[in-house]
Amino acid sequence: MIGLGLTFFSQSCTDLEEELYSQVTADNFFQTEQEFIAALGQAYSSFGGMGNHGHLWSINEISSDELVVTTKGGDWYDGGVLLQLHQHEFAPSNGFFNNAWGYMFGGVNTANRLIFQFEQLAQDDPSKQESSGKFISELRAIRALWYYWLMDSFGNVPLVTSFTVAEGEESPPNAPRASIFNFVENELNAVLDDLPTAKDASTYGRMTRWVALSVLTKLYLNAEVYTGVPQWQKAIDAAEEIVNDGPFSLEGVYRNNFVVNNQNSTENIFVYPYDKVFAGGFNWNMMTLHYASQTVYRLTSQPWNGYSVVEEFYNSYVDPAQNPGPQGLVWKNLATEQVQGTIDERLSNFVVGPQFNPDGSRAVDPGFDTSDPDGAPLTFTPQINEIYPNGWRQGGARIGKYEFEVGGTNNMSNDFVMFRLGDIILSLAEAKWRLNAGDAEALSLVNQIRERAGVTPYGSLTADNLLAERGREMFAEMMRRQDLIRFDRWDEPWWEKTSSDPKYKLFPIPQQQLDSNENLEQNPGYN
Amino acid sequence: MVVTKKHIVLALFISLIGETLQSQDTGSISSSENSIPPGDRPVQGAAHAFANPDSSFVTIENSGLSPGYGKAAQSRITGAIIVLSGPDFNNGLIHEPLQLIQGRVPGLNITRPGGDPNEDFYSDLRGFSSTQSGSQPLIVIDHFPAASLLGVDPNDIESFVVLRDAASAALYGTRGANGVILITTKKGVSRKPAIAYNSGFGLERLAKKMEVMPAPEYRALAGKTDFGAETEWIDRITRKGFSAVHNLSFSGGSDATTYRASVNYRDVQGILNNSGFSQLNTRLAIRQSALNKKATFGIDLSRTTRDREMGQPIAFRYALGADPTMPVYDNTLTSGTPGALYGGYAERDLYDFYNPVSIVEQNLNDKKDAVISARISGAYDLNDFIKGLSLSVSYAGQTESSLSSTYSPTTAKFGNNTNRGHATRRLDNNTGTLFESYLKLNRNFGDLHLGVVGGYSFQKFAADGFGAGGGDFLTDAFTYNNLGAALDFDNGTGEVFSYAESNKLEAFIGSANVSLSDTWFITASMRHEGSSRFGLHNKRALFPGVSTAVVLSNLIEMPMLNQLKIRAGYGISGNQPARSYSALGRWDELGPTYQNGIYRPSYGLVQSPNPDLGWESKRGFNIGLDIALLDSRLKLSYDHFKNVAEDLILNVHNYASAAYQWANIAKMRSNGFELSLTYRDGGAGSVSWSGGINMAKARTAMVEMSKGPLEYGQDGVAILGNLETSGCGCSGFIRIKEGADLGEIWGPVQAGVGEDGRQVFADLSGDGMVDAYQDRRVLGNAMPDLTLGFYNRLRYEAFTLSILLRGAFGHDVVNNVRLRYEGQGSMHPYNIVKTKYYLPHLQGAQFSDYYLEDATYLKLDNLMLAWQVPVNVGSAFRSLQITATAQNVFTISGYSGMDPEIRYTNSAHYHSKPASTNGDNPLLYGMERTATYPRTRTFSLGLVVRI
Repeated sequence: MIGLGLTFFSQSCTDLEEELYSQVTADNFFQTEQEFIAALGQAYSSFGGMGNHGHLWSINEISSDELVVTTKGGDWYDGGVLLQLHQHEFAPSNGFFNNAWGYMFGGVNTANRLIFQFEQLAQDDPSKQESSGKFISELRAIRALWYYWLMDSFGNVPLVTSFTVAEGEESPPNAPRASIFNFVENELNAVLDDLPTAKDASTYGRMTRWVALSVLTKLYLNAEVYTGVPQWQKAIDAAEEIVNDGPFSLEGVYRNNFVVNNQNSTENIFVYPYDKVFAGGFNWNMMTLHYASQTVYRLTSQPWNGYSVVEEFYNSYVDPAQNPGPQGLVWKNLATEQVQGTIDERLSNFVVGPQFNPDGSRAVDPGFDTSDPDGAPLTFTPQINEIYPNGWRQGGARIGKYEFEVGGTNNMSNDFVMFRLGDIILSLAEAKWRLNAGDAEALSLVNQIRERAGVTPYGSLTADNLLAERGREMFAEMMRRQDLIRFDRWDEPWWEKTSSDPKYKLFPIPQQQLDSNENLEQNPGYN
Repeated sequence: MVVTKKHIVLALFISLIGETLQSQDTGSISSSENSIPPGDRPVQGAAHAFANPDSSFVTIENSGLSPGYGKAAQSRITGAIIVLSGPDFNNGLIHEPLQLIQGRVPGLNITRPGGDPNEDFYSDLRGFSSTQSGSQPLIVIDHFPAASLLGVDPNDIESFVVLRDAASAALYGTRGANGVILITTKKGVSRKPAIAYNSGFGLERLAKKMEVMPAPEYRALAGKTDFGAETEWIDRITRKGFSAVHNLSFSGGSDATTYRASVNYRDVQGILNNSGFSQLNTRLAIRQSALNKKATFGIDLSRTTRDREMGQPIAFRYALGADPTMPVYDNTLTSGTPGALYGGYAERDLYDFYNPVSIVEQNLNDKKDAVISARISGAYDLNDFIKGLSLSVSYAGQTESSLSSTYSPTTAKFGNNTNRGHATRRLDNNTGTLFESYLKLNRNFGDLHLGVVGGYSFQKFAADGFGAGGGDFLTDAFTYNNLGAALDFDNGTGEVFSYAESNKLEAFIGSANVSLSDTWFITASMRHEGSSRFGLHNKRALFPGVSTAVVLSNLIEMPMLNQLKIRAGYGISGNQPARSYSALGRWDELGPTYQNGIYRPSYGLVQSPNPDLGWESKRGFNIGLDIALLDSRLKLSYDHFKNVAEDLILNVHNYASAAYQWANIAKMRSNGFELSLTYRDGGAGSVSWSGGINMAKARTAMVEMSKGPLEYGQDGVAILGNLETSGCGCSGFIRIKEGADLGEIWGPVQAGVGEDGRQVFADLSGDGMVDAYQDRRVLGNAMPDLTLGFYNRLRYEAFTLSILLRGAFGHDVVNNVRLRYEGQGSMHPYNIVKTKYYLPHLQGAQFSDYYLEDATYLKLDNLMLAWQVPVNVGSAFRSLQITATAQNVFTISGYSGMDPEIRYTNSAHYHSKPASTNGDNPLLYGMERTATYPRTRTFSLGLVVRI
């Protein structure tokens, strides 16, 4: 027995290394080129939050005159955060702001980390210098894009460009909006020539020269808002390169950019390729459709009945005064019957009117409001009775921009468009118009867009009709807030919103960020 | 072998875990088959040679101890150690081991809010000692550390030993910081064969139902749809729960061999429809001596299977909120094709609404657990070489497996929401093996006794498992038994996973104790231990402990006093990282990305490496006093402790890094006391009384939460916790703050309700503005000021009445049920909970002090009447006992929620808690969830027969 004991002794005096089975560490990863690309992929999966409720897209859209989430009895009050957004009473403690902040800085941090790792790799193995350098340029452009959005939303954000934090280093303070502007501009210009220019499978959903130029176009177009100094000519230069030299052309049919299989769009410049199986997270069908729409689209999950379109915004399509064009039958007001209005191809942006199941029967909402004009049958009425407390369950046209797949799940397969040629053309037109209100090319560019939508070309450009056209074309593409601010309409009243303080042109720095970083200061006016 | 005092191996620092202790109490009415009249009592362990395979480096040899030795043994204790056996155990229908000692050990608070038979008990010893998940005392069953409590049936437990102080727990090294509970199972004795049969039958009922608005009142509210029915939803999902327990054991032995075998069967119904479990446990213990009794061998085997219907306790939440005018069955209330949906159950197109009856009746949630353990041990007496020397070797293994299965049929809205059916299965295995070997020397030199132990211990754990889940079934016929029939797998939307992990611990143990004249005692010990979970730079740690005791009454003549002993000890015990691979830089799959026309996995860092990651260490100082009076019938024991826990492990984010890392950064300081007073009657007359009262207090303060650039929370504050209000971005209600006591609940103060029905909050900062974030303060504390156990045993002739009262004082609980269902107002489509706090005017409440309640309680936990049926000497029956027990008889508390029990952790893990998780986060305390299983009351009848 002593022998037995000793045997065990000698066997068991073991090293205490961790044994790995279903885990990977830096030690057993980063071995092959494939694994490198898999690591780079993380910088792109960061964009996968774009189509979710509750952060960047939501704060931009609900706070504009396009969308509203009404309180429907006990549904969708959510502590008042959605009302605050629409009515411009932004509170720093509103969790959506913190979500958006975390979402974007998550993207920044991932880019910083990957840049650090690729730099290390190039140092350790000179043979990998070239491919690492290519990846680093790509990552710097991605990081610049995140900072462009951060600057646009929150203005004065900290500028963090390194992955490592030195011992004793202070947490970063706000950088002035203008310095973030400069950072984005310099970074993009610095890497522009390293970025790929092809439009094919290898660059689909990736950072290309054209994406970077798109960001620069938007950056310069809004330069006056960001820095006080307009940069119209630079916006024109960047946009013209895309329009003239880029491999993109306007789709003949507007809707083609947003169908389930929109990967063949000739117009989309940068997308996040969602997929119901591989890359979930795009759930506008859940966010906007009614509970009873489940049977209309044979969805595998029941929608949440949240987002609606503000009636005035919807009317900017069908009202012939605002949008001259061919007249036909459209839904208006309480959608009791179809009435005359402008037929704009872009009405595909909405789901409106009576809803029918695939077998032709009416979809029914047994929980309808007693005050609902047509009762149980499901009808999306452009008119919404009130924002709070008892917004109609069936009130408001719904966001139909992206085609809803029949038989779809709560993860849509449409690729989410972040930049497309239509916007660049309108941006180019606007910049030219800003420099010369009578610029003929500007008018013809805008009319390219109008003609594609099947509506009457404009005779001249004004601030009003340019903004309205941008609204119709770019609905729900996270442009409206920026446009309203640039056209100086952000403070004006609209449905269920009074005139608002100019401080709301910037979102507040989230309270949780202020609490967790003593060097951060709140944006002006919020204290 | 003649047993003399010389052969008794004295305590290292625990005196005794004796099979004989219970014989102290002749009035015992324990269900233990060993509690038999003293005259009939055999000498336990007589088959054991001097070297005992059942001994360990932490326990005294129990060979040859004669009845009556217990008192003397207890006097050798130098640490804050509590020993409990049969007569000290709680009675009634007890299905979980820790229930036996609930309320019996000062400083050890054992809680299970609500009456879910499938929920685990949570134990807290002396407050916070760790910031990591699963920071409960280490469970050691028959010398196997980190054993599964499921592996032992309560009926097979001989004794518990609770090590409360750091000096005592230091011998458990990297796992001792939260204290240690040692459980010893019953073994055979050499005497004529004995058979014991216990059985019990119980009836369990709902003890606390929350008031909700009845249908007529709800219907009268403005803006409500009247569905025309009157449904009492709670009644529709609950029932009377019946339970049955049968225990049968055989034991006996000869001079050379002893054995004990037992079979335990339990069938338990929860009060929630379709919840409960049935359990079968078998256990075998054999001891055999050889080589002229110089060698002894032991084999222990046990196997437990528990088939659980986990049920759907979340239905309680929906039952509270369900519209009382809704019928249970009606297929016209939802969109879609009438009749085709939801199996005829009434559902609604409404966020977060599910028909509770449908949840309970349609959805399957089953789990099959199995625990198998085996131990082989040997001891050899080396007395011939060196007097008093022996060698012990043991090898033990435990395998725990659980198979969890769920199915939501195509007709269920809950857990499915797709009308396609959804099934999941997962299998988790956990295997542990332990090798221990040690040499032990015990010598007496006149009045001086010396005991020395040196040993080695190696323990390895491995966990693995796999699972799958998918939906889209054509038929509900398969439930979860034919996953391949789910079309989701063909469509690529099914979920599949597998994992494996392991960890190991290696320790060298040394311990010495000296006692002089049974008056002076000193014990010193150390454990040098390494863990695979430590970072590369910190692979091994040393945990020393020293404690001493003096029996003053032996030195100075003290009138009245039978004993006066002072104890003091100091030690360091530890906690290893709660998870394997915590020190490594881990990468993980982060969702596919689109590359070159196809989706490929992307990988990223999810955990930053920390090669310096080490153990949490707790330095503890304990001072104690034991007094015995009145022929030692009255005993008082007092302990005071001060602990400093350092290098506590938290996950921290580096500002620039997306991934967290685990780091030793926090420090806490605790202090408290425990007091117990017991009285034991001699028991000779026709009337006798014994009883005891114990109380304890523990307070822990967070000292710091940062080290260098690494910081948990920010500026010394972390706000944690998630309330169940929807959409509120301000839901953190737990404040962990440097310099403040742990347990703090933090939030705004409700000053009233405005005209618009919204809450008005107090302007606490006095700046003229109410800010949802600035205007908050500490509202209460989730930890009790005092916990109390009070038990009495009154015997008259053959009848015994025993009473256990249990209480906790001064703790607060966030009543989420009220927040969610009382404060949302009439606008809400859910029913309204109506407590005394109901404000009809209030709409859309957010958390405030109004929803935090003092949950002080005192409950009559256990009331039992036992009749020892007289049996003739020489009849076939040795003894016969009949008992009637009521458990959780009543609770006195102002708390308006389901259960005022202390919430040590967030216990809403009703859904498939995987076996591989390491338990609950100790920093998420103080909240009662809406899905809380209500507390229940149990009445039972029991029979104990011995032949």
